Amino acid sequence: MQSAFSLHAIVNTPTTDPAPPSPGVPEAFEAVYNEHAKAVFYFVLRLVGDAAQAEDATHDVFVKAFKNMPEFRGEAKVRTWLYRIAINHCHNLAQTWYKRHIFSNANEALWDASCSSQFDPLRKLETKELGERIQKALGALPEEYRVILLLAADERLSYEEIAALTDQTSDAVRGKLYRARKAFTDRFRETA
Amino acid sequence: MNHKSKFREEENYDQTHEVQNQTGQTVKDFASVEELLRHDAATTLVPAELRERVCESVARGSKSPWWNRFFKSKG
Repeated sequence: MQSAFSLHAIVNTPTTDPAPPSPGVPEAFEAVYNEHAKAVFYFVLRLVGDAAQAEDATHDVFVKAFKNMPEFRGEAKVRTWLYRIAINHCHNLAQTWYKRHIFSNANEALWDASCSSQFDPLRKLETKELGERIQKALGALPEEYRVILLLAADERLSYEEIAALTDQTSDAVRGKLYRARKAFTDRFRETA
Repeated sequence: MNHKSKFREEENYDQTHEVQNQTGQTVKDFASVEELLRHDAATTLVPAELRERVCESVARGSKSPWWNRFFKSKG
């Protein structure tokens, strides 16, 4: 089967040293942030399509999570719970007058920082260009396709968990995912 | 269907391979959209200042409101 995604490989996965503990922040919450921030930020980034908004939204998601932590009973996984908050938050964001009427330029500095600083300039450029192509392809899809593709990309989520997050059955998720993959592939090819 | 079967479906398509092109660059084919997104996610860093912002907000939110502290100190 011929793949549509021929591009340069990025060999090294960026790594960062663990941050020192923050005063005034419960250790349990800090552990949640350390484990899930990357996944949540990426999900929000690709959903809203703007780096500055993604940073703000991710901040809001974790602050909401902190405020609601006493009510979290552990019925779902923490990652699933955070995604639920993120989906609702981004959906509300898309409905605001500001989002609908104010054009926001992507923050170039933020995009540059989002690429691993460990890569050489050529690979940074390749990573940035790939990210832009992916964003363009995702941006052309309906929100429900974007959400389902981004959730499916997270290896920690099962179809059942995706179904619960998107309020549909597992079978519906499979069907929609099939269509979303095809739609994304078609759009991605157009960005080349 | 359980969690593992999601990956079994993807594994059936997992024919990712790398080749060297004429200029010596490594070209990677992604066998699925999810794999492409995972690669993109792996190369996307969380802004360093975000952690600081979240911690500041959380630390601020941990404190009880000023009037609470005021009346407690009085009583």
